[in-house]
Amino acid sequence: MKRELLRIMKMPLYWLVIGGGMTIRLVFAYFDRLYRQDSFWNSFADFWNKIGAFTMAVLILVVLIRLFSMDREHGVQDVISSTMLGRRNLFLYRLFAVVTGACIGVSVLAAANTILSALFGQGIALNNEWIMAFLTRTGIALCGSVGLSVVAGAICDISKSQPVTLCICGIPFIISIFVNADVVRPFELFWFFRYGFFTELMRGRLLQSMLGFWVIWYSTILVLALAIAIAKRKERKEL
Amino acid sequence: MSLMVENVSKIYDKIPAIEHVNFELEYGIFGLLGPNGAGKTTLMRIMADLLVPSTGRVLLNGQDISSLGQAYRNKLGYLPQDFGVYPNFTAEQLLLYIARLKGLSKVQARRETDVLLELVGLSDIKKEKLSGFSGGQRQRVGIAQALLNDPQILIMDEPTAGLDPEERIRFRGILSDLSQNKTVLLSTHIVSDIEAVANEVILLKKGRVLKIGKPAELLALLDGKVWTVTLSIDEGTILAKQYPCSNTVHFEGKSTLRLISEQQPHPAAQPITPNMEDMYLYFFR
Repeated sequence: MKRELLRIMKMPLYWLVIGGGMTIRLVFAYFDRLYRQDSFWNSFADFWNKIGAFTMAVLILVVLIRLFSMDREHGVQDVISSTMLGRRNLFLYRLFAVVTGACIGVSVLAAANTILSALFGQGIALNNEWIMAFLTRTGIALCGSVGLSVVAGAICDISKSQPVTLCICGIPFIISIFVNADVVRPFELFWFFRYGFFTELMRGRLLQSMLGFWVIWYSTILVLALAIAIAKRKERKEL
Repeated sequence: MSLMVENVSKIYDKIPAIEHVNFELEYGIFGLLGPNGAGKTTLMRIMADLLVPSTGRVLLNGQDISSLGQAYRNKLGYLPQDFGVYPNFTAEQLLLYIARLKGLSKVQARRETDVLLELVGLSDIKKEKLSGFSGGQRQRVGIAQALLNDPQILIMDEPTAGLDPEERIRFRGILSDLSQNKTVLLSTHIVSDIEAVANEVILLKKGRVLKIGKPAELLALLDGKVWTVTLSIDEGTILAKQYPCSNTVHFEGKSTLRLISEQQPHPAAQPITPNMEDMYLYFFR
């Protein structure tokens, strides 16, 4: 797993995406400091709602899951599959590496948001509630990111194509951002898009209503994605 | 050790790629020879446990390789036809990575990598990115990775493709040294490679095994069937259309042809000793 994680950490794009997300946050923090001091710490606590969630989605769908498609992309698949540990073990190592990469991403973004906000927010009154809110939302965003990375990783392993996975997982993410929560009713299609594909969690929001249903829903998605990936690997002689 | 291919067939969309293939390999170098589309790559992928056969099985010492799983792959070195690389890796990094996947310890991986890079003549550029490597250099990396775990079974699909003559000679030397206690199966279009190193040759045509035998035995089948004749260019052109011709040399207004024929193709034709290219034409044309 360490080798796979190091591969991720050595990808320039990984740090570029995090850097890009934090640059946007820096610009917002700067203008909040100048013109919206009253909501400065609110923006800090609300980091995961837009910038954080979007950065993590890009990080997972553009960078992390490539571990699952790059063998096929570069024609190394047969060589890897012919090695002793290149099938089940490597699949697990990569899955753990992608999840760990997502956790590190969330941690780095949270730390960077805290440091940036602390630097720019000097002199602006800080409420403890905002810190707690940020920490809680970071925890929820972490769960959402882990979930998306497992499902997207499994889909990428099935399709062996990062662009295909980007579409399959990216479209629900984008739709979720734009669906107005007030106009969707339970069990409508767009209600599933709004809440059912990790976006809400990645935005640091807990799914408070129908919690039992969502636990079953998300467990099913995770198990199903992994089960299909395993079945496909068996079929391809990669397990 | 015995690697047995038992009644193996592979059918893609009702079209058989290989049909009822049976043979047994023990120690030595075995050449797989056949024209494009004969099913060589399919057969090699099945033998490398990368493809499920439609019927039949491959047995290592009597055990199905599918059920052996990791234990089989631990004994296997495989070079695919189109060996790809991670372009952002160096040759050394790629070999270290594959070595670890082959279950070698860090120390073993480092040692093996250094030895093999030296063996394939890439140690001076081992720190360079693979994206800048030529086709031949990449192929040498492929050969090195196949040898990483000191495999007992080596399956190489067109290993000499892209290698220059010097590299091919070096590769043949490596294979000969390795063949003492290993089973090596290699396919190539370069018939002279098989002639130089193979202990036995498997001829594959349209998915079926045509013949298996030692090169000398196969060549003996052509005794008295290979002829050389020197004629005018016009006469030579006509004759070359009538008989399989393995070589033509034009010199001073004359053509010297090397023809394959059961009977003497021309009154002036003289029988000559057959070679593997003649054999290839004889069986596959």
